[in-house]
Amino acid sequence: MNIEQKRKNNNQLAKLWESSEITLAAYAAQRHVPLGGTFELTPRCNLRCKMCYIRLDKSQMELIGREKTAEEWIAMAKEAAEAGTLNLLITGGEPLIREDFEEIYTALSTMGFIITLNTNATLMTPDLLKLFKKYPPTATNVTLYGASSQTYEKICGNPDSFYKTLHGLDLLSQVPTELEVRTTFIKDNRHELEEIRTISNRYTKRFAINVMVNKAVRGAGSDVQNCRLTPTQMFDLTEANAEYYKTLNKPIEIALEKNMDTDNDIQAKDYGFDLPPRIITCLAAKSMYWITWDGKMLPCGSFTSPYTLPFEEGFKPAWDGLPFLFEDILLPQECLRCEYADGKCSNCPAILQTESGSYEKISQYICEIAKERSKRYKE
Amino acid sequence: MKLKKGYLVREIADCHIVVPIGERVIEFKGIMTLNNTGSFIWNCLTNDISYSQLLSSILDEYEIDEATAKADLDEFLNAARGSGVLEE
Repeated sequence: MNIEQKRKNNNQLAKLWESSEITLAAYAAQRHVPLGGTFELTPRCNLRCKMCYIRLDKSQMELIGREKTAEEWIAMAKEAAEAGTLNLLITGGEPLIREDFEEIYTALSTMGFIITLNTNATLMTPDLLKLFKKYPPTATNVTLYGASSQTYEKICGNPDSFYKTLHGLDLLSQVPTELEVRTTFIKDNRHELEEIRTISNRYTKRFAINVMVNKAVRGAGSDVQNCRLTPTQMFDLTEANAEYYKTLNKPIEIALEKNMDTDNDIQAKDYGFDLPPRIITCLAAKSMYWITWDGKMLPCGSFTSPYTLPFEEGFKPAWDGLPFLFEDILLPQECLRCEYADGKCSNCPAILQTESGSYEKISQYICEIAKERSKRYKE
Repeated sequence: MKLKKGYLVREIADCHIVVPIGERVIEFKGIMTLNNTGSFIWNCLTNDISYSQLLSSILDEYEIDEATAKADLDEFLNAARGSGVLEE
């Protein structure tokens, strides 16, 4: 490509972004560039939320593998940056539980990533506040599980963690970051939407909810059957919060959503291209990836397998090899014939694998959610 | 005029993308992309340089007339001022 052609392409790209016709993530997917990554630094967490799909005790963790060292993560980040990663999510478990968090975070903050940090905020300290003031994450997502210590005791096994979360939010609201509070709703806190949002609004207007409780992955255990909402309850809560969320319209929020959105709402097919692996309908393994605490590269955190090993084979070969692992995987026959397949169901292979134990088996839970969605949203 | 410190230009998917580092994240106003001329001007602005020096550098680098170069430069400088990356 000569310089003028390249220049023209860049200009066209800029115009497409400006007019919101394509996200950067989709543009990267067309070129198989690993634009958005997640570093899951640890499966450990100081809370014991009963719906958590990923948490492991230290002893459980040691039976499965070992956490990658600070040095290893920093080296991996350099390779990821070189390969084109721009948006980097730092998550866990609880990432702040790592004693070497500051070392990892400081190094990653100067490499040119747009960083998002996921935390429960309970481990925030004045030292970490100093660190985040010096190197603010572009965005910080804090989980808030209830509006009282009683709810925290029911969900997280520890009443005091409610007050610790609020203290952490007090500190984080002094950081120039886009702070978002997030709540996963289960049976125990489903009546607290208003109260939790009121508390959140003391710190930030950005409040998002999750109503889907997935089964645990990669060796973790959770009590999903006693946590899950019915599909009706799920959509009632989603609708109740959607109206609130729509009123948020600051320019930075638009910029963040335009360029950093990594969730399943971005359907690859919406952009008129059909990229491998075709079984995955979002941009996972196309321009997104997830590296687990023990060094496995997956399309996203909901998968268990198959995976590549970036710490062993190098980031770029691991990324390039990832889509091929999913080439021969097919959705269940029932899904292919299903009336909800076109837009009413995410047809997500990761969730199928987690729910039914196989890509080829359907899941009653997922089918019921799709039915409810179809009932409510005819178009 | 020159660029403030604390920005990196990264080449991602054939694009030059300006990324804030450290405290500059606070001033983040969305992603800024540079086309080839933009990238050239950006490099010139890493050191203190006047408007007329910039214009003659562009004319030396690209085979374009002065009016086009001036229009490109003004467009870039407006965008750079809007993004808050320029120190004047």
